[in-house]
Amino acid sequence: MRRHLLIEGEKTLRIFRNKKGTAEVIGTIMAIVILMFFFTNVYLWHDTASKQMDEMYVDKMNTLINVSLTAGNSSLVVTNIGGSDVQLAMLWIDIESGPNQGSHYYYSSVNTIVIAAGLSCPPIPLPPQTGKTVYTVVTTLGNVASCSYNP
Amino acid sequence: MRKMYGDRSGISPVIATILMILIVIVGMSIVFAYVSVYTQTYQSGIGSSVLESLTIEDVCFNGTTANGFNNLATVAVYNSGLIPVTVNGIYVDGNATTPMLASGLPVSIPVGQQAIIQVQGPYSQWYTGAYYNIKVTTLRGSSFEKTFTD
Repeated sequence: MRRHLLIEGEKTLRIFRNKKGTAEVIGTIMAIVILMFFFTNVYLWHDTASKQMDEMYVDKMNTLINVSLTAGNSSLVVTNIGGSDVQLAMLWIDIESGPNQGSHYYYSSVNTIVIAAGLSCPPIPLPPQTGKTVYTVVTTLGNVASCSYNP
Repeated sequence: MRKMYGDRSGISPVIATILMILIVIVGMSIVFAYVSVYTQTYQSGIGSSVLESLTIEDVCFNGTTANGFNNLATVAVYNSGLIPVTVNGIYVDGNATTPMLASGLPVSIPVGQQAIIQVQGPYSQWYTGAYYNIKVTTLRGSSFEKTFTD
């Protein structure tokens, strides 16, 4: 029994002393490490991109707006009902009835308007309506809200 | 000294080692080039599709073609994403439309900008009160949909 254990111990020692194949093992490990480095870069980049977009979607959900006409329907008020500042991008005016029916036009000049959380913007003057008109406001984060004037 | 240069018994292992090193360098260069190209293509292509966001602002269903079909539509698209987007297709109810732009599609839209694209719809005319599902697709493979009524 003791002899058998000694032989086994010698065998184990011999395996550790034998240097044959070391280069192959080190080469394989290095190749795996290099490949992992490249693909980890791709994964980390994708992870960062997804996080950026998730943050943008959180901001979008947190910047909802409400659009309404003032008394007299001469101007439009946009209210930020979210928790973060909102920047307007575009105001669309679609005329659905009357002499100019089918006209769609937009004002990009509203893109200077930034509305703080919970507040409303100063009234945006509107051209006189000639029929049923739909007003649509688009924010820079892609939120859209509409209201309509129906004579 | 002459004896050392005259002795050729160790040349084979030296050449084998040099060859092995060369093969490894060439192999690793090929792997590096492949992975670099793959990474760049992925990051600028389909990988960036997660950063795209388009908002279909408005669709105007009016306009008559030269041959009398009342099936033109003007689609306004706003880039609300984090990277420039290239629109390469507009579909109505899943059917492809024909772009009426002089340049045709694709159309590039920088971040925070809009593009107004006129297309010829798949139907012979638009019906008042009907709902149409508008889908805008991008070169990177994203698609954005919204339903509009005439």
